[in-house]
Amino acid sequence: MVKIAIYGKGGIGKSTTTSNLSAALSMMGYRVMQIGCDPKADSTKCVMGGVKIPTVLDQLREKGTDGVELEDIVFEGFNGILCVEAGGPTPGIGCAGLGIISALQKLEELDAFEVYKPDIVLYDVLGDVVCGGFAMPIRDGYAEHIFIVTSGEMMALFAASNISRAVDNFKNRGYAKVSGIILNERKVENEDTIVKQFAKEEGHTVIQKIRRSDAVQRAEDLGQTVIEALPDADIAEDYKECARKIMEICEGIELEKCV
Amino acid sequence: MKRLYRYLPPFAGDYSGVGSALYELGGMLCIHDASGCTGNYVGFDEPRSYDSKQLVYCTGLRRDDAILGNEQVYIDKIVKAAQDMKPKFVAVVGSPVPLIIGFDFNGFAKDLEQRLGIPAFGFETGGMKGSYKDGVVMAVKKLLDYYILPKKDELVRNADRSGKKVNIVGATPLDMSEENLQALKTVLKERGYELNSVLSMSNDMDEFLSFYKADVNLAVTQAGALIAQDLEEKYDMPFLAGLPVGEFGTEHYFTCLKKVFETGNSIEVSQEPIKVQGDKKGEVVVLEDGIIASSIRVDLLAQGYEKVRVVSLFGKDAGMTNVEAEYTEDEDMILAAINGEHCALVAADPLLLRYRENTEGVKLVELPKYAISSKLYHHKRWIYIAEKFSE
Repeated sequence: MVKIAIYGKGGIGKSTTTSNLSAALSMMGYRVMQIGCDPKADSTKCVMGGVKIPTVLDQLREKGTDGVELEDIVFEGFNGILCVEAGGPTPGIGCAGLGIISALQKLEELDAFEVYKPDIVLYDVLGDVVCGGFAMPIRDGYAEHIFIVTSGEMMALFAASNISRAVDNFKNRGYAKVSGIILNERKVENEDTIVKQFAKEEGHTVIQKIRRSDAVQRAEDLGQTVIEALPDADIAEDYKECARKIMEICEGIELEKCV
Repeated sequence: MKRLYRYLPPFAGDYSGVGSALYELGGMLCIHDASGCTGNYVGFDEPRSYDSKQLVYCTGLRRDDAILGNEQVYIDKIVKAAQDMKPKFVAVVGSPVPLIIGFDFNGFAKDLEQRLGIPAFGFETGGMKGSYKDGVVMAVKKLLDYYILPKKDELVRNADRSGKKVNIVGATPLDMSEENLQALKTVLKERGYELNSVLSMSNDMDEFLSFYKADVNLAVTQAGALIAQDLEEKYDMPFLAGLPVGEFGTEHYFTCLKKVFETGNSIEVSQEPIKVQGDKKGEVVVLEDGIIASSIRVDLLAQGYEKVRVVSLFGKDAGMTNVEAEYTEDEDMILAAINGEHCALVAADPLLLRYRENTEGVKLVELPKYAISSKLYHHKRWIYIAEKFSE
């Protein structure tokens, strides 16, 4: 099982990228589970035909800790992709980070991976590594690889740099490593060069450029990914190529075992 | 409110189970707390701490450090303490606050391991769910998985079980007094069995890690049954779940043990037919760890008691098949069981027996248990292993 976390600045296109990668990987024959780790809980919407699924925290709230079953929180979307949304606390109250921790622990407690046996798990994680909760998907036992989504915009690169540094802080802890940068094009001047230079400075590689395309919006209007709605679009090829490269990287790296 | 305890104290927590299981092994136990859990463990859950040495380090967690994620402060302090005390390993054990803020025990331990160059283990405990039983299982499994599992293919095992070698698995003072453990060791020796290792009241790490040299594991508690099940899966070691309690129970136990040696299949003392040898008596309720209680049940049924209710206070686990057992942590149910009608005998910790209202015509058998009443009734402990029960 390959476990991957997708990080990046809020609004940069993480959920769109993750959903399209899930779809592309599922078309390659892999059984994919996509776990949204953002209180907004809209990571999997385009995999689920535009429908927002009940979140783990919603179900915990409604049914109590002992009342939640896997079928209450895991839903099958496009091409058999298994979708989970961690969800968040009541807005303005509670703690979002702890919400992510509780949701991921619930999945573990219910043996979700053993039951569904996904080949690939994709964690779609909110913007920055702001506290322990948002680092949870990259801790020992969770994701082994991190891919950062960024554009050439300054704030996106700034966030990407913060994420990279936070991950570096945990290097003694056996956490996941940054395995590559995904450039989500925003048509900034010299964007390719800027992002390549950034990646070089941070010690990473740009593994794929996702070209800007209105196909994304058209597909999202249908509540679908580009892979599902417009499989012949140029950008669909970018996602497919990105998925192929991710698998090449993930299956080629041997991780050190942790205590 | 159903899970609120109004009369009974909280039983020993998971962090105490980890501490107890690792006590003899030469490690340094680091309890990440503001000092309350350390006090609980050292002062109330660990009888050995009064007259022998163990390295226990309390991190003294403070509010600001928890909020700001100042883990480096604690890492530096633990590193300094470990460099002074030179333990064989470090075990980082949690309390409620780290558990609630999502402290990364494994990551923290990994950091310590890098700095110290000795093994460090993180235990996600908090004293909030589960019990000491879960801590014991967690600790033993984690250490064996770290030290022995990678060498599994090189281990030399005695495949035909001809050595009559056994391990005692799941023994800690929280469940079993030193005297009862000694009685078990003695009766095993008298019956021709060689004791290889005690998980986890071994005298040292080498003995602890040599568990694989035994032929059969003796799971003496629920924690023991869970560990033995894991060892059966990983190392193909069969186990017997139960204890030789009372005269009749002891004979029954060794018949079962002989069968495990002959067949190589795991069994539980409660699964084998019991030969009733005494006169017809009334009904009984036993409140204890499930394995201990179902072993007591075997002896009492053989004595002639008609029905023995087993009430496990620590959940339902392996090793309790064929027992009409109830599993509860609910205070109301515990007190209802203590006050069960038509009982000729009630066996439980003296703290629980205090709540028996009608004592007329009922024999009360006190089973002091450290996980329940700590040192309150420790002086009342008595030997029921291989000795008469409730005469």
